Amino acid sequence: MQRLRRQTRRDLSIGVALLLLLALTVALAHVLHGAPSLIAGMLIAVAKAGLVAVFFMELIKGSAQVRIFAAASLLWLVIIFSLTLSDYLTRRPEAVAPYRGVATIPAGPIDQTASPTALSPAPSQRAPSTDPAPRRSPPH
Amino acid sequence: MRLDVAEQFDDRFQQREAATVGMWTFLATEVMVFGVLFTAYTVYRAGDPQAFVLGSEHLYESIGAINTAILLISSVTMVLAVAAADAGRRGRTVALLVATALLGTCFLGLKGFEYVLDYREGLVPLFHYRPENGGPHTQLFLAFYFIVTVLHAFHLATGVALVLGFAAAIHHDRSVTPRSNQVQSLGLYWHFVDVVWIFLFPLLYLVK
Repeated sequence: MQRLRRQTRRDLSIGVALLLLLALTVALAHVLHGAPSLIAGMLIAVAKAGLVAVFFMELIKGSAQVRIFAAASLLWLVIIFSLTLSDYLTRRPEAVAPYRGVATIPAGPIDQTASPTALSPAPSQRAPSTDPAPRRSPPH
Repeated sequence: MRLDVAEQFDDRFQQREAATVGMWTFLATEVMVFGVLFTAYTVYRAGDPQAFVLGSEHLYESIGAINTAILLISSVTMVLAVAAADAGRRGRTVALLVATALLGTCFLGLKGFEYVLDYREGLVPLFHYRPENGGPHTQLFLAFYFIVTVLHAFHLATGVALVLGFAAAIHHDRSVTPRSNQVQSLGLYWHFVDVVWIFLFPLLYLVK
């Protein structure tokens, strides 16, 4: 009974911590922009997921075997990410992603104001858009 | 009441370990399902960050935040239910499982309401989409948003159905202890669904 009460108290305080982290992530999103916003958001998300995984999914009191199985899922995720991104991030800008450069999907005016990134060529290098002027009003 | 140890196990600790490891194996496959979707998101977002900012602005951040809070609280009720099952408290387990299912249903209801709002705003690509919401790259973000949240909602709905099924079964059982391993495995599944949403919320709603 005592053990259950202690565990309940601990679980509830971790729940409160999770909700506080949620409030923090929403607050930071309104203050930060761009890369810092992404990094902060992801760090807080990792913290929340970590709390859930370690305490709620009981990795803290699990055996080594359980922890290895849990870590293995992360390992495969890392493999997926690194192999895929190692392809995309090492492409020459002109050869990247069929939706950039010589596009078969016409790009709208809003999309063309995007700043150049590793995957997208600078506007001067981009092939001229074949897009007719987009409709302003809804189809009906 | 004695927890029955199946024939292939030496003791109840080994039986519990097998259940836990088995569920983690399944969760690892689920991590890969959502993992590739997150990978695709990364590639698309790196390709046109501005389109993602634009798309994210169209979404209802407050609904997303409330839904996140709902799921976090449901994880708390779930872990309390697992602890109650381990302690042999049948009534408490059923009550907490029902609370968990209720919170999950609230999430699904809010999500459905949000989908209706999105549709009315003309945010669903191919279905009365309004071009002034953004060009094809923004549509890519919105399509991704609908696909991944629908997939998540399917997982959550499955979880809600299982939780309710277990609550009913335990309610009619004389003791909860024989099912404590199953409740624990269900708890792992529920926490996983919560973790997926923990990452989805900032990546979809908080792109600035």
